[in-house]
Amino acid sequence: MTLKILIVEDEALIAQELEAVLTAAGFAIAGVAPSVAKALALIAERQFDTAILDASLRGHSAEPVAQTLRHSGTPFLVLSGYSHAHLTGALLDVPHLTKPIRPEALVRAIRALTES
Amino acid sequence: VTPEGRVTGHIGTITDITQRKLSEQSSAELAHRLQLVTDSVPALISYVDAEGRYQFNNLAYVNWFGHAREDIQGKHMREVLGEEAFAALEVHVRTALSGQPVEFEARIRYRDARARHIRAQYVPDVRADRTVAGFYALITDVTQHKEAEQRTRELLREVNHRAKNMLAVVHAVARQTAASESPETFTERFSARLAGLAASQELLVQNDWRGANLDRLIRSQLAHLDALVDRRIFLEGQPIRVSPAAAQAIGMVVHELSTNAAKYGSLSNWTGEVKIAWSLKGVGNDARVAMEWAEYNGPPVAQPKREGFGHSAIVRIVEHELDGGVELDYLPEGIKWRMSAPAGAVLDRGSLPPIGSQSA
Repeated sequence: MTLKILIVEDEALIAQELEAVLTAAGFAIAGVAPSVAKALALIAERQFDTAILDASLRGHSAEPVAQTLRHSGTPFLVLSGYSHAHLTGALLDVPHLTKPIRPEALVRAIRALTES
Repeated sequence: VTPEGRVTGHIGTITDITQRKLSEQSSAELAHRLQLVTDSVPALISYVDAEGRYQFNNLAYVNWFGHAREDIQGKHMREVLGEEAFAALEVHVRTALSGQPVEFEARIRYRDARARHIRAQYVPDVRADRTVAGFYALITDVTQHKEAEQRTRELLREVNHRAKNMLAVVHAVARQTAASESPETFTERFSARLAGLAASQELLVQNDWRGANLDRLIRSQLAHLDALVDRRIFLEGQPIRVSPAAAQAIGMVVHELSTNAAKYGSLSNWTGEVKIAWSLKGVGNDARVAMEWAEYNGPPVAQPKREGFGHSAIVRIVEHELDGGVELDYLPEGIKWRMSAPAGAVLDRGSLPPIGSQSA
C-alpha cells in the first residue's frame, strides 16, 4: 500500500522539492500546507499516514501543528534550519532533519517512522 | 584643701588633645571624601558588618533600591534585599565573612520583584588579629549587557536559520534547473537565478530585513535589462512595501518573467514592451495586492510544451507563499501574468492599510 504523506513547509521551492523526492521514492502526497492554519485544515480533512513538518512557518512556530499530530497519534518528522537545541515543546522528541535535506536521508527517515 | 576648707594649691593634669582633635577632624574629612568618591562611582558599593548589617552604602546603592541612605544604614541585608535575594546571596556572604574574597555573577530577584543580573565582588575586612569585621561589596548591574548578549545569540540563531533555509532554496533551484535545462545551459541559468535571489537579499539587508519597496525590488530584478527599463519596460504603481518573504517570492517571479521575455517574449525583438503595474485595493482584511506583467508587440507567443522551473516559479510561488491566485495567459500580443493576493500576506506588517482607511 502506498503511504500518504502530508507536507507542511512554507517555502514553495522546498515543498516542491520534497514532493519530487517523495514521489520518486514511491510515496503519495496527501497535501501541501504553507501555514499553520492550512496545515490544521488539511489534517482535519485529509487521510495520511505521516507528515513532514517545517519547524517555522511564515515566522510562526509549527508547534500547534505538532501538537495536533501528536494527539491523533500520527508519526511525523521535523524539518528545520534550526539546530535541535533550539526546538521546543511538541517539536521535540521526534526525528529531526536539518535543512538542506539530503534526499536519501529524508526517505530513510520516513521509512523508519512508518515501520516503527 | 586644708581641714578648714582653705585651698592652698591645686594639682592638675594637662593633656594635649591637639592630635586627637586633629585626627577626629581628619577622619571626618576622610569619611566625607570616601563618601564623595564612592558616590560618584556608577557601581554599587557597600560595607556590611560581621552581623550582615549595612554600615556604609554609596549613592548608586541607595538609588538602586530607591531608599533613603538612613533607611538602609544598620539594616540587615535580608531586610533590604528581600528573602529570596538574600537566600541566593547567603553562601557568598558566609564565604566573605569567613575571610575569603568572593567574585560571582548571578541573576537575582530582589524584594520589589525586579530580577537583575549582577556581577559582584565581596572583599573581607580582615583585621590584624585575623578576625573578620565585615566585607566590602562591589556590585555592577550587568542586566543590559546580558540582555544584549541574549539578543546577539538570538540574532545569530536567526541568521543561521536563514542561511540554512537559503541553502535549501538554492538546492531546490539547482535540482529543478537541472531537471529542465541541458547540461550546456545549466550553469548560465543557475547562475542567473542565484543572481536574482542575491539581488532580493541585498535589498532586504539594506533595509535591515524590514521588507522592500516593490518598485525598487522589481528594478533590482531587471538589472540585466537595465538599458530597457523606462524605455521598453514600464513600471507603474503606488509606493508599497512588501514583507521579506514576499520580496523573495515576487523577486523570483519577476526574474523568471524577465529572463523569459528577453529570450522568447517581447524583449527578444526590437519593438516589444513590458508593462508592470501593481495596486493595493480594498480595506482591512479584504485588502488585496494586485500585480500584472503584460507583454506587447513581441514575436508570436506559443504555450510552452512543458512546465519547467520558470512556470512553477511564476505560478506556484505566488499560490503557496502569498496565498494568492495567478492567471497566466499566452495571448497573441504577448504573455500576460496577473496575480492577486491578500495584502496581509504580501505587505510588510508596518505598511498594512489601517482598518477603515480608503485605499489610494
